[in-house]
Amino acid sequence: MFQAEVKLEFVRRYCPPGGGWHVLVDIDPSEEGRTGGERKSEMAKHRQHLMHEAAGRACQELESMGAEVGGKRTRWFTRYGLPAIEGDRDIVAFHKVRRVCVIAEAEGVSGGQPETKLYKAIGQIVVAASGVCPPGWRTTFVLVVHGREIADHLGRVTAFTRLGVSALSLSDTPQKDRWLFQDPLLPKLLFGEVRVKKAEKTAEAKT
Amino acid sequence: MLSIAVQCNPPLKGINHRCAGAFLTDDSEVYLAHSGKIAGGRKGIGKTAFVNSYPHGNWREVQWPDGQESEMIVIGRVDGKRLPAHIGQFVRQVEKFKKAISTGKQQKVTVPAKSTYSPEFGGRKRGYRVPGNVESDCDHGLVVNALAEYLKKAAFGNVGNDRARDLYVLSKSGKLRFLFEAKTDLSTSSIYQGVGQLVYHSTVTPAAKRLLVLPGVPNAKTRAVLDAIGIDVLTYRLDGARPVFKNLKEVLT
Repeated sequence: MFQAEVKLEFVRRYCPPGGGWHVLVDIDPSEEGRTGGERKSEMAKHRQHLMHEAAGRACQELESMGAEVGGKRTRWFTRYGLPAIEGDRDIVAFHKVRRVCVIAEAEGVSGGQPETKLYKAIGQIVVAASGVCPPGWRTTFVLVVHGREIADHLGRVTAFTRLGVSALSLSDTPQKDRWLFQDPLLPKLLFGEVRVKKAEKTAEAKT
Repeated sequence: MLSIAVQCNPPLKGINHRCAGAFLTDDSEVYLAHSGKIAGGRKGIGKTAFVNSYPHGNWREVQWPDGQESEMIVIGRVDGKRLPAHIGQFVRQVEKFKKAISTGKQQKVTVPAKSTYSPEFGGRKRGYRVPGNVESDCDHGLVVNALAEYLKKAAFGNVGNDRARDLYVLSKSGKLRFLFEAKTDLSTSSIYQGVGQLVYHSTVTPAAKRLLVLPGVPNAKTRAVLDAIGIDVLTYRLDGARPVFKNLKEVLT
């Protein structure tokens, strides 16, 4: 799965708009193969073509599910009466009934070493986790990856749960998805088995 | 008598994959590059061994006009002011590699149990780069080596680096005192990556202090975030080819 497909599958499996989630997804031009100069070899051209197609398909499916792809972030938060989340996070999802906010960074198949983009994603999620969480929401941070090597690399840092960060290795089928490490309440929060009271204080929402 | 440490010989014309040297372009600048093919007439000296010994080189994916792709070490911009320093560092890196082979002390590139430091030429670990930082990445080695020299002279502890970490300092008891990650630009992407590297590696091996080495002061918002997650910023500027660290004593206390 390319990065855009990872985002699509995460939304589809864990925070689908049809299940009451408001979802904002950021698709970067690099995910569409629109950065990095002209590809000269056939292999590079083919990879770029596949990326472009995958990103287009992912955007279309996300939108048809009811997710917002790109666009003005501030306007989106205002439109749905949601607290603004700073930064261009890959995925921001709110469930108003459950009072849950999911902030996710996703990594998929890419050229180069598997840890290359992972470090950047870790940096992004750590910075996000250090920010102010919206009061009254249970905010949770997830790193979503696809691919054995990148999952193995990420799986070594289970101590990230101390930072409130969970990690999911996305598989080709939902049944084979694997939490590498996680906030113990996360699956219950995602699937509505646990709800957060609206009046909850900020500090409690972060824990 | 002087001896040859390394040859960097681009062909006079056309493409010759057997030549270790090449001129590369990113459509605006021209760079001198080396394939890593090192010869030396001794058992153990060859491209694979050198590539494995040199993960911190400024490795870049290269597309050849004949459609082939390969990875090469970008040494420096041919008209760059610091080209002599960049070449000098590359030559010393090869020299060190050959010496290690000949004395049977070739370093493994896995995380060592005790501190070791391999002077590096430039760039970051393989595949860590983003397009657009080709030239500044050549300065990475200058910065890390200068910092390592300072730390060694100041006897802060055992100074080392490895495949994953730019630089670290161990206390006498073997605990990680300082962990450094150097970046050669202030882009958001580089800062995120540096934060990710520092957080990741200090999670695997806890470090007393984590330092992001940057060529300037990041904006107030970024500084506040770094402060909140316990990462200190060490800034530098290049005086010619010599990195000058601005707040070194302050951050090491």
